[in-house]
Amino acid sequence: MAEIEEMPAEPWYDWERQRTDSDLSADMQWALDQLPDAYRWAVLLADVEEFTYQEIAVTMACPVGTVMSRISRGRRMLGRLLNERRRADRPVIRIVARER
Amino acid sequence: MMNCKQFRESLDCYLDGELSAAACAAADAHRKECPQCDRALAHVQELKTAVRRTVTVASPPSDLDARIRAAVATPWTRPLDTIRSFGTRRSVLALAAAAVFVLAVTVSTRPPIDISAANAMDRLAVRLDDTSPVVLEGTILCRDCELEHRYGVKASCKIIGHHGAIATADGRIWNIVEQGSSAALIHDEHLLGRKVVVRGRLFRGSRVLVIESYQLGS
Repeated sequence: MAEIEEMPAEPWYDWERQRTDSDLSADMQWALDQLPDAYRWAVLLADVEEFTYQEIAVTMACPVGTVMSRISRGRRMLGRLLNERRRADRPVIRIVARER
Repeated sequence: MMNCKQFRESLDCYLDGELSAAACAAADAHRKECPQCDRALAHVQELKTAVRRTVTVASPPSDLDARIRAAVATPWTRPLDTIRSFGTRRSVLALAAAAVFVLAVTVSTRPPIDISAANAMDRLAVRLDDTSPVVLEGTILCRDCELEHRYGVKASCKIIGHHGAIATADGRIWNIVEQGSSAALIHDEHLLGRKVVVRGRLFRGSRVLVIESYQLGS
């Protein structure tokens, strides 16, 4: 776990949602599967079960500060993964230099 | 006054209602003045909603339900089919292992099951609860006296007698539905303080126990 905690947290807020809900759900399911377990649990306990950070800390047997960082990083990772997924699904557009 | 950096750092806490009143007010004020930060907040809120929607609508793997049920069965509530005899611990260890697997928590330095973690799993499983039969271990105590002891609630036991209930290892008190088979557990004051293993069904939402049979311990 130690090396995961050291991973840089990217300031990624700008994930776009231009898909249908079912597409998004499938992508989100995929993105959640990619998260390290500790991050996924922290995010799910906060977002789905609506546990307080204190409750999550007790559940996961870690300090509240770690819960905060796992939730924050977990969400950033989700946003980044969703963006990557969306980008990967786009048709490749090649920019060709115009003829002079 | 909060600046953008501070707002972004406390964004998740703000969204999850974990900020103090003062910090929350500062964040509110910043949002009103900073459309970028307000937009960032909206994005994370959307993400949060999407997570919830996904988990709510997603169809889980076919064995997930069984895995969670196994994990939720703490040492004091075990599925019937894992019970071999009174005092058998093998099934507990297996269930503890399952709980740890589902929680995906590193446990090399901790006991194999953490009661508080098991309780959280229990809460997670409330929505999966189909009140299938369980065996529950606990201590018979007077519910009202316990409430008086813990919270200062005024009990009338000296006047109307004690009201037996079952306390499990996590400190929860399970009310017993009054039926012929359970009346002694509720009304026989000589049983207070005794250990008991109960077969029955848990209704977690109302924290009520319907008892089919029981076996008194020490």
